[in-house]
Amino acid sequence: MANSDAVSRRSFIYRIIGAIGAFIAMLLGLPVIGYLLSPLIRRPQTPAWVKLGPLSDFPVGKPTLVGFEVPVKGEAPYKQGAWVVNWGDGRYSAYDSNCTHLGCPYDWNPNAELFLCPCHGGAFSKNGEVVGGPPPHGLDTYAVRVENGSLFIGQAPEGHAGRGA
Amino acid sequence: MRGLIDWLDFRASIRTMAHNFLDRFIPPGVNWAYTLGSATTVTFIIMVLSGMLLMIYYQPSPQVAYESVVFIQKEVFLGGFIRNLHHWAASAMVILVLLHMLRTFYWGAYKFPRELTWLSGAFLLLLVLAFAFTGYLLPWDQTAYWTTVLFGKMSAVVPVVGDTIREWILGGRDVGSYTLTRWYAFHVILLPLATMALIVFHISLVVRQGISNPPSRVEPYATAPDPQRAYLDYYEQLKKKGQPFYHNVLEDAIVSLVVVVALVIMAMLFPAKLGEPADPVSTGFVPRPEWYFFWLFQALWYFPGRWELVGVVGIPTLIGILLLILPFVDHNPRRHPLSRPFTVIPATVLLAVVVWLNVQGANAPNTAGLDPTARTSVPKGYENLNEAQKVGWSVFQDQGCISCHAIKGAGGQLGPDLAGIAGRRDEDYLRRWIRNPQAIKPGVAMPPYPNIPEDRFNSLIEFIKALE
Repeated sequence: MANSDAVSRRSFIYRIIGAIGAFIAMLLGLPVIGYLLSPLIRRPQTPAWVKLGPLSDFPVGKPTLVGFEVPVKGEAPYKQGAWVVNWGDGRYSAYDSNCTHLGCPYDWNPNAELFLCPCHGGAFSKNGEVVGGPPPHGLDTYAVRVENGSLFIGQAPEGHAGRGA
Repeated sequence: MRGLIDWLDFRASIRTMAHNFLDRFIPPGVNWAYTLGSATTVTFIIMVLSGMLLMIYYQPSPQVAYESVVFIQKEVFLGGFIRNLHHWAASAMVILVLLHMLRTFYWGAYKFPRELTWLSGAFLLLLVLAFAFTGYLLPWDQTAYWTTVLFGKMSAVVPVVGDTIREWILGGRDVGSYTLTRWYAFHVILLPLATMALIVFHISLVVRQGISNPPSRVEPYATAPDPQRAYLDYYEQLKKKGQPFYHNVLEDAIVSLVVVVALVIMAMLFPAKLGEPADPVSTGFVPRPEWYFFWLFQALWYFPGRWELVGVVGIPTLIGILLLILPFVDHNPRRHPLSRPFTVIPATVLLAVVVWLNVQGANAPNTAGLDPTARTSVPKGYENLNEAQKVGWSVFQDQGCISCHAIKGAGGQLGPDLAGIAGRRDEDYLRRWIRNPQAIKPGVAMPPYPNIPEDRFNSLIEFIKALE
C-alpha cells in the first residue's frame, strides 16, 4: 500500500514538473517561432513605386537592363535589376531580370531578338513569353508608370507574361 | 601534474570518465575505416574555431560584406590563411561525412541497436548541407549571390507552399539585406549550436551501443529465433575477444593529424576563391554551386518544364527520406554487404548515378554563345570551312545557338550535339526546323528563329550542312 502510494506521488510530481516545463517552453517558444516567421507575417516594406530613370534612357525597340535600389523600411537597401522594353507607342514593359526557370540572369540577344538564359537555355520573346527551353512561364513583369518624363516601376513583379507556344 | 590530476579527479571524476571511455572493450577488426567519424569531428572543431575568428572582421551587410571578406583575405595578418582553412575544411568535412556514412552503410552498422545513431547522423548531414548553403552566401560575390537566387527559385518550385517557403528562407521576396543577416545568424550560431548538441548525442550513442563490429559472412544471429537478442549476445562475445578502445584512439589521432596537416598545407598554398562582388544587375552569369552540389545542378538538365519539380525537389527529398528511414525499413538482420544485395545494389546504383552526374556537372562546358570573348572564326574540328560556311558559323554564334548546341562537345548541352547532323537531316528539314521547330515537334525546347534574314539563314544552313 505504502509502495503504490509512493509511485503515484512520484508520477504526480513528474506531471507537475512536466506541466511547468511545457508552460515555460510555450511561454518562450511561441514568441521565438513568431519572431522567426516574421518575414511571412510582416513582410519587409518597400515603397510602392521606384524611379528607374528618365524616359530617354530607354530607346525604342531595344530592351534595356536597368538597375535600381530597393529601399527597405528600417533596413539597408539592396539592388535589383529589370529589363525595360519601350514599345514606341507610349507603352513600356518591365521584366524581372531573373529567368523564371531558376533565377539566372538572362541577356538580350539582339540578333536573335530573344532573351536567352545562359544556365539552361531558357528563351523568351521581346514580350516576355517563353519561346524555348525549360522556363515554366513567361518573364515576371512589373507594373510601370510614367510620371514627369520618368519611368517608375511597382515594388514587385505582378504576374507574368503569357505562356509561349 | 599528478597532484593536479588527483585534485581534478576528486572533484570531477576525470579518471572514471577516461576509464569508461578509453578502456571499454571493442570488437576485434575495428580498423582505420573507423577513424572517419573522429576525423569529421576534428574538422568540425576547425570550422568552429576558424569561423569564430572570421567573425571578428566579417560584416553581414550587402554594402560591406564583400569588402570585409577582401579585408580579411588581403589585410588581416594570416587572415587569408584562416579563411582558406575555413574554406578547405568545409570541403573536407563534406568528404569525411560522406565517407563515414558510406562506411556505416556498407558495414550494416545502422542496424539494431544503432538505428538512432544513424538517424542522428542523417540529421547531422542535413545540418552540414545547411551550413554549406548559408555559408556560401556570406562572401557576397557573384557566385554567392546568384547561387542563392537559384536556391530560392528551387525552393519556390514546391507546390502550393513554395513561395511561402522561399520567402521564409530568404527573409523577403528577393535576395536582399535581410537574407544576408538571416543566413548569417543561422550560419554562425543557430546551426553550430544544433550541430554541437547533435554531435554530443551521436557520440554518446556510439559509446552506449558500442562500436559496431566489422561484418562477417558468418552471421549466426541472423537465423536465430530472436535475431536482435542473438545479436546482442554475439556482440558481447565479440567484445571479449577485442581490445580496449585506446588502441584505436591512436589510429584516430594519426588520421586526424594527416587531415589537419593536409588542410594547413591546402590553406597555405591554395587561396579560397572570391569572385567579383555580387551584382544583381549583370547578365549572362552562370552560377555554379559548390562541387558537392554539381550532381543536382546537372540533374536539372534532365528535368525540363513540368518535370522540374521532380528534379529540383523530388529527388533531393527522396534521397533525404531514404536516408532517414533506412534503418527502420531494412529489417534484414544480416550485415555483410554481400549478404544483402537488395539493399546494397540499389544504393550502389543510386550512388553511382549521383557520382556520374557530379562528374558530368564538373565537366559541363560553360555556355559560350553569350560570351562575346568566346567567339572563334571556325569551330574546333572544322578548320576547312569555305567563306559562306564561315559566315554561317558567325550566324550560329550570333543567334546564341551555341548556348544549347555543342559541336564536337564544345558548347551547350540542352540540344543535341550538331556534329554529323548533316548526315541525319536533309536541308529542307533543317530549314523548316530552325524557322519553327514547334510546327514539327510541339513542346520542343528550341525557340523559333523567324527573323534571321534570308541570306544569313542560307549561310547558316550551308554551315550546318558542313558539319559531317
